Amino acid sequence: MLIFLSCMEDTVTVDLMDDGMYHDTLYVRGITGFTYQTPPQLGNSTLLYFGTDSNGFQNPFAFFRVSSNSITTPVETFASLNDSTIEIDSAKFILTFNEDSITTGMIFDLFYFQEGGDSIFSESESNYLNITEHDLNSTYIGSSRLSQKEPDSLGTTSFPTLSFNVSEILDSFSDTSSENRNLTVMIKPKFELAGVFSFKSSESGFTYAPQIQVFTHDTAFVDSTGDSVVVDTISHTFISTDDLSIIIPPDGIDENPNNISLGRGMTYKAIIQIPDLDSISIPQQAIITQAELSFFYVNDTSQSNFYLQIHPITDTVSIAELQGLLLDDPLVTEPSLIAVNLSNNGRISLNIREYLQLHHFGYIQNQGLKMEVANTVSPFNTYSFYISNLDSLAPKLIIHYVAP
Amino acid sequence: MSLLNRYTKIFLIMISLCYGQDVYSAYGVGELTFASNAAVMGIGSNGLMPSFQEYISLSNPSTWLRIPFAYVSLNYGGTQIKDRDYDYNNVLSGLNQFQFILPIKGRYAVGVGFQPFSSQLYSLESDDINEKFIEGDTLTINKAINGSGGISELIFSLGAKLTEKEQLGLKLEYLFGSNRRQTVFNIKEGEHDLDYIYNQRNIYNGTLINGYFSSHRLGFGSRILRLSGSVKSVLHPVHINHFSFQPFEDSNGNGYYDIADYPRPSGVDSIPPAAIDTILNNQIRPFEYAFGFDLELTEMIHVQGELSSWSDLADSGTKLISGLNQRVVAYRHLNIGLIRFARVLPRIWHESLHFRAGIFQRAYEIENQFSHNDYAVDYKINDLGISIGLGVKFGVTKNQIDFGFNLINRSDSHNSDKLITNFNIGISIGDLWFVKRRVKK
Repeated sequence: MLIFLSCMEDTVTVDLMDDGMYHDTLYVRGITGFTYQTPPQLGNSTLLYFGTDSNGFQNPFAFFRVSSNSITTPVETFASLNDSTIEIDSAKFILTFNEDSITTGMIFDLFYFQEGGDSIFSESESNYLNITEHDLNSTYIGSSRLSQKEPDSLGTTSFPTLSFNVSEILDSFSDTSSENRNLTVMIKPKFELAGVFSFKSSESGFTYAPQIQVFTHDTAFVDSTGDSVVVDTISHTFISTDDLSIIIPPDGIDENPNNISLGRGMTYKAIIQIPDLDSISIPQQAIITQAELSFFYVNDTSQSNFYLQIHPITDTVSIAELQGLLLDDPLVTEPSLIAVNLSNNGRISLNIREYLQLHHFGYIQNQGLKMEVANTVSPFNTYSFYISNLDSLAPKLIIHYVAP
Repeated sequence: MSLLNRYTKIFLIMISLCYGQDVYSAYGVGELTFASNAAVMGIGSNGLMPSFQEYISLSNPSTWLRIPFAYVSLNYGGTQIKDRDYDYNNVLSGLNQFQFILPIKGRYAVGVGFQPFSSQLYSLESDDINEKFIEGDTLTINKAINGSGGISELIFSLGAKLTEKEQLGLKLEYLFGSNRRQTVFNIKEGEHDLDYIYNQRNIYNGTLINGYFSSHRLGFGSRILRLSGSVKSVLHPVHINHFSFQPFEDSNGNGYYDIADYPRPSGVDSIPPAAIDTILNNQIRPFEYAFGFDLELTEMIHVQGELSSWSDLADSGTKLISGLNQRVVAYRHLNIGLIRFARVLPRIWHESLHFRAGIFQRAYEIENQFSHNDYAVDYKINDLGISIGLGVKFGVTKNQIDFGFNLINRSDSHNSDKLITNFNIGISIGDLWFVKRRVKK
């Protein structure tokens, strides 16, 4: 039987700065950028807009497609509500205002598409260029004034809402035999609005998602005496799964080659290219600890924080193909690697460490980065940055790495 | 013994071979092993001259022809390193040597043994914090390295009689083993304090050949003078498989690479890339020669001395094998000592004891392989030590328990002041092998 002991009580202290690993920094300049424009697409937005912005953005109408299954229990479908034992008391389409009070009275109209089929709009593809109100053959259903309930006994206020009576279209919703059946409605202001007003979309969560509320009671319940009795009213909620407000941007394209611009309403997107990335000498097993790509605002140093999404481009980009207003975004990208909200001192700083590390590992090619604002940013803002080589205002990339 | 138990014991043995915890442990392949058994430690030698018993050294196969019995010898030792400048104190211990020696009719002897060639165990922390100012940010950088492992030797030995007074010995030393090194690079920026960890591993194998010659032809009157010499060189070059693993950011600070770290060890494209495997040849080319004498002063008292010179003839082309930028490229060993051996047939109790004492000196040359600093130069380390030892002979088959102890004062041109204490305990069991026993009637 052997007993072995190995006790290291103390760490030895030496000067190790010349051994093992080291930290270094690289400055990369010569970064180029180009702005391109596609039709606005607000399908993934958390808000829906109506009215005309002071910059000329028009938001004439919005579409909603509701789910055929209720989110309340018992789960019902529009077809199952058609049962003779169920009596529908009322049906309302509810749209929630994004502000907590009403500053001006507004009336909105709701329309239905009797013969529209179920492909009237697409959240990801419909825009002001491929969908117009006149082509839709819509049927007016009813109107609603924006209203707000009185605070409850605890003083809690609720958001103002639009509430449309949609009882008359429930039969169409439940008619599964119809080829043209659809669950889509359209809402537009009855009168021109003095500004832009926003409502919560389906992306804002179940609670405030646009929804149809159907109130029913069951007439077939039989009690112990054999008599039919009426039971309490039941509420069924069918939320909107797809919704889209159409935005029409003002005319004009930012063609200043010294700047790049980003915006949701104008749908300005940008390509950022780091031409020397392949020739940058970084040791083979380096780990990038920081990679900060920074841009300076053109004329506004007080921009509030906003979110950007950056996608590595996976295919070769031809700038010539990105001229003018494009109907589709031609860039093929990886999923977004980065979301940033850094905005200070007149510049934005983007952390592209992941992109550079993957490029350094050889997993992605340096085709450039597609940059666009995130879906939470107001579509009416446009952000411009210097891109041409203007010394201290030029974009720059600072890479920190540690390497063996 | 279950398979699990067997592996557990093998693992324990491997672990126990790690000595170190000195800066020198991180140089090159680590600290070279000198006194592998208690008898050698007692006299402070390198094992060339007989110290185990009169005329017998466990480390020199040319002295084995006079071994009366087959021996199984096991040695266990420990080290204490006390740094008087930095006030640290480390204690380590483990198995030092296993050896089986079989004499064959007084004409030949064979042996199989196992012992460490070099070992590493260190945890070094930088005493120099580096600050960098980049774009208005201040980065505070510090570093630590940790390492363990070492090279072991599987030894096959053969001794043979050349003439009545001359003997030859041959030793083949198969080197094998591995070590691991971890560099922890710490960057502190504001509230962010992150470690970047880089792991490396070396796997070694190679073969050394060692030739011995012993003679007792000369003498001073009736006093026999034994002389021995040995030469060691590379038979099969030491081959190193170096694995360099992708460094990672230890985001959760647990010291291990896991799902929370960066780059994440899962997902697309097998992040991170596989380790870089580099095969290195001729990075270690030991060459050693040694001479020694043993003068019989009286029937039991001998004076001994040894001089040996070891050098690594490898080109210093890479630092992949070293924890630090330095490596030991040469050392010279000199010792002289006195032994009173036990009497063959003891008449009183203390005649069953071997007493050993000596002084020794070792001078190491350290080469600075790579340096970013102009002031970094090669330097020397000097060990000056005293040793004492005791052997207790018992039993018909000359079993023996040995104790060895030495104190070393280590200094170098960096004004290092260390006191190293080594001890070794060995037990050697003798028996007759391959002898026909009479059947009891």
